[in-house]
Amino acid sequence: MGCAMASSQRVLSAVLLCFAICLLMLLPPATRAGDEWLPINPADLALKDNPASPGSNAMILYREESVDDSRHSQSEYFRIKIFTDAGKKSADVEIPYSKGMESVTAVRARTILPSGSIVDFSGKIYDKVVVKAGGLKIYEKTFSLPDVQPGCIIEYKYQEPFDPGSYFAVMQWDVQQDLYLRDGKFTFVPLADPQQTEYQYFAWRTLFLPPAAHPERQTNGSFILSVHDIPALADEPYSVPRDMLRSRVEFYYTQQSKESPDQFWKRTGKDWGKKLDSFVNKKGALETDLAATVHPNDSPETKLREIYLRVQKIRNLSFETSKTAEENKREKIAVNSNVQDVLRHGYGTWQDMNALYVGLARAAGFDATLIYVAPRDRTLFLPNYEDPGELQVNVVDVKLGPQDVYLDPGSPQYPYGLVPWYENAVRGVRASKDGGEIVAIPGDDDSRAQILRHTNLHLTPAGSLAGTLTVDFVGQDGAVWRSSDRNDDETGRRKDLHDEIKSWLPSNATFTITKFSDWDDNSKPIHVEGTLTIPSDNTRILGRIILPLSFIQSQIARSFTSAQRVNDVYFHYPYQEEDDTSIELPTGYKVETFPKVTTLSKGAIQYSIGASEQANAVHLTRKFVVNGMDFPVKYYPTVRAIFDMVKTGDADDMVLEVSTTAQHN
Amino acid sequence: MFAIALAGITAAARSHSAPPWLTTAAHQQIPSYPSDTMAVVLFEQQQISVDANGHVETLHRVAYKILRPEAHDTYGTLIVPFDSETKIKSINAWSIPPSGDIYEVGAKEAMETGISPDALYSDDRQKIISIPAADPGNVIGYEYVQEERPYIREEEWRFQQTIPVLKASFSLQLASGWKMDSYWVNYPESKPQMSDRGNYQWDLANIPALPHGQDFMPAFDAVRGRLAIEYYQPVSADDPVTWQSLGSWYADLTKTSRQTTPEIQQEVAQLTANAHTTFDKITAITNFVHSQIRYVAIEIGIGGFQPHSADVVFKNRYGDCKDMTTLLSAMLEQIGVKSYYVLIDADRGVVMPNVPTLHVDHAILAIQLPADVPHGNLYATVDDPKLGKLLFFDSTDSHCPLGYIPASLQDNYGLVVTAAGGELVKLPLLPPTTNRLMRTAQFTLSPSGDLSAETQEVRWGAPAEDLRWTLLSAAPKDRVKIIESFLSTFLTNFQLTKAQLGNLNVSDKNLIEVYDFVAPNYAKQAGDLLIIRPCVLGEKELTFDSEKPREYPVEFSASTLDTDQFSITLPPGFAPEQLPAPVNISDAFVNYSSETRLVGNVLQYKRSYEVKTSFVAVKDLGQLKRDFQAISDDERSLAVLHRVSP
Repeated sequence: MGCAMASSQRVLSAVLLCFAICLLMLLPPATRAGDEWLPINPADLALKDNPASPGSNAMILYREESVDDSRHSQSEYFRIKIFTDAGKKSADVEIPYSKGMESVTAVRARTILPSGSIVDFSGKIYDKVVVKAGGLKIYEKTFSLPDVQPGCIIEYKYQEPFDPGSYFAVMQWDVQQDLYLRDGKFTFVPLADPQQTEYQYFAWRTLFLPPAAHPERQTNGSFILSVHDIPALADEPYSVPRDMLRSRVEFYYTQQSKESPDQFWKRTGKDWGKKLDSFVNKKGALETDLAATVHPNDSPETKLREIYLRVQKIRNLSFETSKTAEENKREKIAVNSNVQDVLRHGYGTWQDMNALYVGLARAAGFDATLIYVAPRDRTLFLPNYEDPGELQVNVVDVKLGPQDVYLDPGSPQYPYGLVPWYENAVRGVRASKDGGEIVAIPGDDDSRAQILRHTNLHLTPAGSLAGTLTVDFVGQDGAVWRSSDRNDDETGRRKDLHDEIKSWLPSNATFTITKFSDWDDNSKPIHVEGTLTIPSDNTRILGRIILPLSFIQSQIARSFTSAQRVNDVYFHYPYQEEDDTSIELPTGYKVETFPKVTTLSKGAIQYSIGASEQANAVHLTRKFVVNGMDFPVKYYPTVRAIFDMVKTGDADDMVLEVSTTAQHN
Repeated sequence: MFAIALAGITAAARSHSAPPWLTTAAHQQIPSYPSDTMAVVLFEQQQISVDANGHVETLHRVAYKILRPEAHDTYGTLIVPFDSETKIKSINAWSIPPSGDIYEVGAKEAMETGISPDALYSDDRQKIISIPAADPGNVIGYEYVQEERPYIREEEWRFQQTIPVLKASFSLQLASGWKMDSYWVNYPESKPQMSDRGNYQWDLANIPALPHGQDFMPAFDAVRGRLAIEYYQPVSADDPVTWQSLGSWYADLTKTSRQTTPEIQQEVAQLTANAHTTFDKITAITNFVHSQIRYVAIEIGIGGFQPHSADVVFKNRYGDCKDMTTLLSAMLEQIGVKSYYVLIDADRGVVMPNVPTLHVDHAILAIQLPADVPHGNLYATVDDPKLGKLLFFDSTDSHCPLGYIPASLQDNYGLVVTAAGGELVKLPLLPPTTNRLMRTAQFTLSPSGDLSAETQEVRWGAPAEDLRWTLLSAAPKDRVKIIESFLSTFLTNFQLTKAQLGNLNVSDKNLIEVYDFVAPNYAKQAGDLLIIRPCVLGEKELTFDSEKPREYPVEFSASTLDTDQFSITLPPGFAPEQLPAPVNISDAFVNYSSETRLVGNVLQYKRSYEVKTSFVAVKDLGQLKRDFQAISDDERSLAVLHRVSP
């Protein structure tokens, strides 16, 4: 399992390392495994369910994992209680490993039947190819335990010795997994002398461990962690990514000695600042380009905007369809060493674009630098853990008078003034030759992501509705669409937006796009116009027609149908939905009753829906605002109740009275 | 991750030339296609040669023109499967941009991965090559040669695809004296060009695309154009290939699989010790297989067809479909009941009586019912002229009890394998009364429009099997979410107050769901009117996309009979102003009736919905569409009450 790297300076390729690290995250790492088994507690055999989490398919009663970098050994021990038929899948065991770098040996497994009798595994262990490419050989040892039934306990153990002279560059205890863990013991013995590696020091960190769980360092330098009652990970809609929930401990070797977080980030930010300065240190090239970009009399903000447009005109390699190495070579794509290269080549990565922006802004007299941040769609910045790898992206920070303006010209779907949602409401490190500084990038408010709908319909005497629907995707909502469909053509984009809009409407509605504009101008909303028909819904009753106040069906609200929830509710960004609908009525029709106007204002969530009569038409307005992102699970009942109220308001009906004359027409 | 790996191992740039067949294909003029067409197959070729020893070498060539960016991933990745019996002799791919500066990639750039989505272990693998510059306007092509010694001497040319095909060619070169039979499926027959040296060649042009993804469409292989070929040595048992000879081949392959052991005999003896009748014994044994043998697939080489022995399956307590069928058959033999393998494709419509090929992916058992077994409640039976009454049984579907077969196997063809050979048998479509959902509910409406409900659903047959799969695949604590999700389809707002499941794990008993809920504001008030939808729960889902023409028949998974009986106790002081009109539909496909009545202060809604067939042809879809529009209208119909007293 995992990432065993040779101490003889043999370095895994970036691909191999990436794959191996992924495996590390997927795999159970491991102690010695002999033929001894831990004693069976009769109470465990008698268990009918997980008392701590009733209704489980299975639970891990005990797990022991041990890795010894000095002895190049790792071992794993699992004891799992099966409660249901669905839980029996735990008896199919797959142990991935990197062939040639490690092996899987001494596999032992057995099934303890509810009666207490034991069935030893004596079957075949298969060696399955997962992937072979360019020297990388990932295989799986697979086997299935015999005679597995609900009520039984299965257990298995194995050793995974790795290449002598190798060690785990990064080792992870996956404390929390998809099954509840009752008791777990994890041991790691790092190299006694990290300096025998290409690294100098050894470090470790804990992520999302329960408060009582702490790895204990032993006098021999090893680490031991005992955990109890770790709940299973739950997949729920509108949750933060699993890696931002999952309890784990990471050990790694590093080039740097332990510093205080302040010292570490100051030094790291200083390094980044120097690199940035070096990259943009082409005054002549920048001034020439700037002269063609801005006019000396432009206002400071105009200059910043013009520079933004200039940078985004450069070909951005990071957002193109993936290319093979041969294509890149054929195209003679070269690495840019500085801003002059970027300008001369006419292309660059997103990093190049942001650095170029800093260079041009500085050339125009602005104080500008980069802030490195942890994108919150993937990871979290925990400064105390001193991991620069968390800060995977950067944002330009430029001073406009007293204001900090945050920009990401390297994300071509985002206009001046708007950074991708996953780069705001985060902390990061500002790069500066004077030393890094931890700073916060503020989040958006709800006005920065809007869906605006305008509907003009006329009601036919038969009860159907026909007219036009116009939708504008504003701010983050437009940018998210532009990002996801960036490599598609107009046919594909039209189809995807059509399908999205159609999903909001009653199932029998027809929507045909007639105009689709401003996709390529990221400063404008994506604008979609189309014809809409909604057949009669059989709502004619005794001289009346009943119509819903909203034809739009909230997709998000449907995600909170369950009364139970484990994780916080997490929206990517605050947002608004606004509807303005006019329905022209046939002659002889008038409003009999409108439901009372619903307005709701509960903390970060506001909602209003109402209707008014205007001559021979009705005018409907609806607004829904979520001005928050993270709603702790303890407030879930409230959040769910609010969304129920929204659904109820949307489902309210108005009643139109049909005159006798009109009824006979 | 794989994409990164592929990019990382792609070869260094060098100049290349494309083979003549690809260059020729690239120079074709292509007609105009609908704007959403991703790509077009310019040329597709399969050349198969079979030598006197039965070794097969196949050359595959394909040239695509990329029309839209969406095609980049779909057609820009070459995937060639192989296994321990199949060797890839060569593999190459090219990309021709308009500049003519050609890319070429080959075996060195290939990545290898396992393919076993459903198996714990399989020796099936695949080579994957990322073809450079699979971008709009470019032509890409690939060629590979495979060598194999197949277990079954048959080939299938699946020439019709989800994108248009301009030219396609298939040729078969047989060793001297060998023969072949060809079968056209879902496409007009085309005669081959033949040479006197045993070469057959078929050429097609302008094959229309078959789009994917319409609701209730049959399996793609059941509607796509394809050519099936069986070839064989003359004057052999396979001359010609028939269902009988295919069955003989499988009978021979499995002749030792069902040998029993003392342990199996002992188990059968224990299981049947208290069973007084043959039927009870059969039930005890089938229950054992369903409950005690776990589905685990391990397939190596011929293991894709040949089951593990009954002994191995019994010891492990696991196996795949053919393994479980093998053990069951061996155990039944111990009580004197004969049974036969049945090879079938789980996609209805793929196996066709006039096309004797082993296009199958599943094995079940046909149990020859002894005369003393009452068969009134055993629905999955046929009367075979030679074998008598056969009862079909799927060992892998533990939620489908004895007497039933899963819906996808109904109205489907299976090859019954006996020592005397094979016989293709049509499995029955079980009648609607065997697949029932009975929903009853007592609702109480408050003066403010809140609805409180006590609901019971009783299921057997296919509806029970479907729901058991759903519920039992979830952890017990998550099952309530399934009920909540169901209710959210019909109710804007609700609180589930009680949920109980009866007989969930007892598949031969009715599955019972009891749940109570409260739905605030269910009834809408408009002045003195109270408006309520009497069909509170349930949707008979078959929506036709109004924006696209329907190109395929409709396939129902099973024939079913659902009934709803709802009583809604109204608040005092209301009288009916308008009730939904009754609906009655009866045609060859569907029976539907509904009625709403007011009895005292109780609004009674009852309906019956019966699907009578599994298949509705395209020509009949107009009628079916009208049926379901009327059903949908009925489900949405409103009852209007007016206040008669304050």
